[in-house]
Amino acid sequence: MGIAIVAAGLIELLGLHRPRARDVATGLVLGAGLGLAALFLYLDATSSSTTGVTVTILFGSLFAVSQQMLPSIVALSAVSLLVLAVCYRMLLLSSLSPDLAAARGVPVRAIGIAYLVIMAVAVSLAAETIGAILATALVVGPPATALRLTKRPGGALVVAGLIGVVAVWLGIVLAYDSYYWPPAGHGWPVSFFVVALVFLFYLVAGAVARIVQARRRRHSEAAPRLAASGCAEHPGDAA
Amino acid sequence: MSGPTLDESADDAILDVDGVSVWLSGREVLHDVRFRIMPGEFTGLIGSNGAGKTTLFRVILGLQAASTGSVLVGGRPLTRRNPIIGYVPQKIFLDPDMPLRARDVVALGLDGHRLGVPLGWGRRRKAVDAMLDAVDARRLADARVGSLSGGEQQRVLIAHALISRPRLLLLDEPLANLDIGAEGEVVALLARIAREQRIAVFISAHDVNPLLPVMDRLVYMAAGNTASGTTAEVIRPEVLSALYGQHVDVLRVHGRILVVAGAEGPSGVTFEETDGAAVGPDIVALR
Repeated sequence: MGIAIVAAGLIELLGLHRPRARDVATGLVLGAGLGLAALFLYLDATSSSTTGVTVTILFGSLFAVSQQMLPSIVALSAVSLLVLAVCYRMLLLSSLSPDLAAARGVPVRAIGIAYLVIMAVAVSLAAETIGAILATALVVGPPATALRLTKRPGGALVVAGLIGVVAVWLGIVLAYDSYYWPPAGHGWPVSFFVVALVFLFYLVAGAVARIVQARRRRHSEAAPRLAASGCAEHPGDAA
Repeated sequence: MSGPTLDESADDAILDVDGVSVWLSGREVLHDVRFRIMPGEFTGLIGSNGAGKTTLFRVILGLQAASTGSVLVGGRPLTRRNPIIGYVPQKIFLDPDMPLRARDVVALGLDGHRLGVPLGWGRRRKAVDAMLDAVDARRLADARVGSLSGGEQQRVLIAHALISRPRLLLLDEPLANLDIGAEGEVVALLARIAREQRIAVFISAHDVNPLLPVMDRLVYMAAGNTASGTTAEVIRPEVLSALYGQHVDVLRVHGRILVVAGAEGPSGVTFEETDGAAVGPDIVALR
């Protein structure tokens, strides 16, 4: 993870702050985080695991997260969330317009580094639990789903977090239950359920968003002047 | 070039640019720029792409150091994050899916440079609503900024810049990519802000015509050189020819202004020149 963080810092220092280059940087950080998580899983798996090393690295194993690792995972998560909370407004302003943020005195570059670092941490943690291949799905899926459900920046963060937690927990329950499923005697991997649920949520959110939009359009056609007069719409209907 | 008329005392100027030159990678991008903007004045910064308009803005914002010369904002030397200045950057490109409502953008104008998460919801909300009302954008409050039209986005960004109560508003090409209707609305809004709140408006544009009805003075940039003064003082063949370093004709057609690079001397067709007050130029790109 240390290396992932350094990589994140380096990428920002290389001066990738044009919009397109940012996407490249994001991909690189994802890669670096995954690579690192793979190394740790390898070291861990070769010393303790009963399942194959390759399988553990690629697909992770939530059940294999050891007691000793737990404190550091919790601590890293807490630090990431704290950094996110502290930089929240500066990050929003920077993503609106880096020029604008710089003019307002926001240290755009430092904020960018902080963001890439916490993203590297998040990817590494995701990879520890559900494996390198599927970590991207857990990092990208819930936010993409949240974007379809809310248009508030803070709301999107909370919804994405909740979706992630629900997907993982529900995935664990299903995996536990799957022990009694067709090829009896073998539990299905947790990672499969987590990613399947993330994808399912994404599809459902798309359908919900479309229905809400259609209803709103019909509503505004029925009372076209009402919305234009500036009266507040029902505040909660999107969230 | 002809400096600003020195009838006002320099101490009152909200912006005093004095002999600023900027060299970027061995090239002089700005050469001896000098002009002054008084409180509540509407000033245009006119020039084609690459004339150095954005560089000048970056100098005023403290993001680019001047090689020579000095800039005073509100009578004080430059600092980064100057609370006196409100800034509207060139068109922003936002994903329509980005979860950022118009009201969030305006709220960021209040405290976007601060650490931590925002507190004091009620007060923030009230201030944001009042600001959106002031720019006639209240009905856009809960729409995603990425999904708004160019003119609507400009309104929201103007509200973002104004909510911190600046005394000088810098706008970088706010009329670019707007249709004619939206263009007129944005200009009228800015003129009203300058007049009613006595905020000096400094706006860059490549076409001087949309600004003609409201502009008190203008700063004209070409090839790193600048001329400043009233429209009648600056938009003249002698002044602009010296600026461009080649012969330039100024044609006035139905209250609009056309600046064209020509052969030596006036061409065969002559246009009757109207009085300075109602002039409006269409700046045809000069090569």
